[in-house]
Amino acid sequence: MPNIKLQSSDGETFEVDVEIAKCSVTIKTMLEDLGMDDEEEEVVPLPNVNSAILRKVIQWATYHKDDPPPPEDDENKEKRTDDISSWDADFLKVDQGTLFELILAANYLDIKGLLDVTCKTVANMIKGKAPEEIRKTFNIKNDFTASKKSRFVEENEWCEEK
Amino acid sequence: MSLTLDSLATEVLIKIFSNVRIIDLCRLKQTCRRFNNIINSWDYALLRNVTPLVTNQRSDIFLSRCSRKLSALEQIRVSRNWHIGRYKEKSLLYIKRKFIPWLCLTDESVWISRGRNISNYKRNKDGININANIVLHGKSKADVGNFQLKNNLLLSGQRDGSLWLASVKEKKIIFDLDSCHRSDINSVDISESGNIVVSGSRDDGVKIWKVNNNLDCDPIDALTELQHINLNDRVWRVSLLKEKTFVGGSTSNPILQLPSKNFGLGVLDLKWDGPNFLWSCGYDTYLKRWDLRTGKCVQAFEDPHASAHYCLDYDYCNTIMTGTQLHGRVILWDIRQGHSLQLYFMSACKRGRYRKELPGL
Repeated sequence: MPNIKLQSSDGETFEVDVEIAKCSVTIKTMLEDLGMDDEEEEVVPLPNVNSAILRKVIQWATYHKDDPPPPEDDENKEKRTDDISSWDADFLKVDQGTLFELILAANYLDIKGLLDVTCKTVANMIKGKAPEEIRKTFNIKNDFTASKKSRFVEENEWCEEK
Repeated sequence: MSLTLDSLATEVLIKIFSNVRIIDLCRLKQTCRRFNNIINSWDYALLRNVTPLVTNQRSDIFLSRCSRKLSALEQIRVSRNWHIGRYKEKSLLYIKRKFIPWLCLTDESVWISRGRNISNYKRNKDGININANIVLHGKSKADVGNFQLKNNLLLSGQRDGSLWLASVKEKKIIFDLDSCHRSDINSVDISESGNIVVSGSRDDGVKIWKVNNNLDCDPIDALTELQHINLNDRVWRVSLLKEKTFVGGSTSNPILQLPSKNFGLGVLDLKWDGPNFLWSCGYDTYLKRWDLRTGKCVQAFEDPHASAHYCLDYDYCNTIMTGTQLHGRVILWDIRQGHSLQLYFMSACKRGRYRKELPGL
């Protein structure tokens, strides 16, 4: 099986099966456009992804390499966030920093499956929390003025009574 | 330094936020300015899977009578208020004598028929400006039987069988002809182009007229009768779609697609849903949707109190409101569900017959 070399931002090189690397639409397009599918020993530089994250992305892609292609987003369907597989859930038991870096990497590499599951994980961390709890969880600074704050409470009362 | 949620790019945050519920979005809005701005400006993308009742402003026809465009979150909030029946009641106009009023709502104003007058009231934040902006009436002293507003043209049929057409912009009557029908005119309609007029009357059926657009012609020649169909029954509703005419009759007469097909019974009001579908309501206590290609009823909703529906209005998406015979009751329907959602009572109206348009607010 042909392999491809991916180079992380900090210079580490990873040798990966081409089929696995192609789950990234960015890499797939790059290979097709540049015709890099020959047996040349090319190295694909990924300046936006560091080695720790790239290792995790490759680990995820290797596990999911036989997955059917993800379905197109159905606009009318309500999105679910409770359909994360147990392997993915374990895989994403990482600190927030890593999780966000994975989101950025998935976004940059255009890996829909990984982006979906990481975004859902963050969404689950947001769900059901009061504004103050969200701020605490994500270390967000409250930059509203006092008058704006009280208006908010009024504005959003309606959605609290489910 | 490790990454934080608020340092992510907007595009990525939208991806994340599109996975949470409305309630979480409202709470996210309260966490910090940036999230508030993102959710406010991208609310349509974030909430695209939610179709609110009454307030979804998708159809152009519906938008033409909305005074302002609501944000997606605001749409959902107002929609929920409709659903749970939470509203403020405010009487805008009192009518001493019992008229049968007809209403027509546009983005800027409301048209109301009272007696022989058709008045235009400007809409404002609290409802309407109580001083009429324009008052139009014909020569006839008889009450307005029905009126129709389309593209700056206001057509009115009177109880004595006269018809008049006015230009709204110029506040001027274009023609006013008496004895168009021998009896009360119950319903009128005018084509989009303003060339064809249909009128339905109490005892001598339906007449289709051609409007003479030549301004120099004698006003008496303003209408040419193209067709007169005697149905030997009261005609309650006529409706035009392109070249076709539809008629809703009284108890014994069905909806009639002129010149041929019959369907439905005791129809009092008709409303278009695209070129192939028609909503009807009437004495049979049902709200029905017809597929004109097959001539069959495809959806039917029964009134929870088995009373007749006098009029209906549609938001061209999911919501229908009907006005019923008894107790000034207005019913809200969600056509995705098989039953009515909410009842509203027009307290001032002691005796039936009400026509209500879906408000855009």
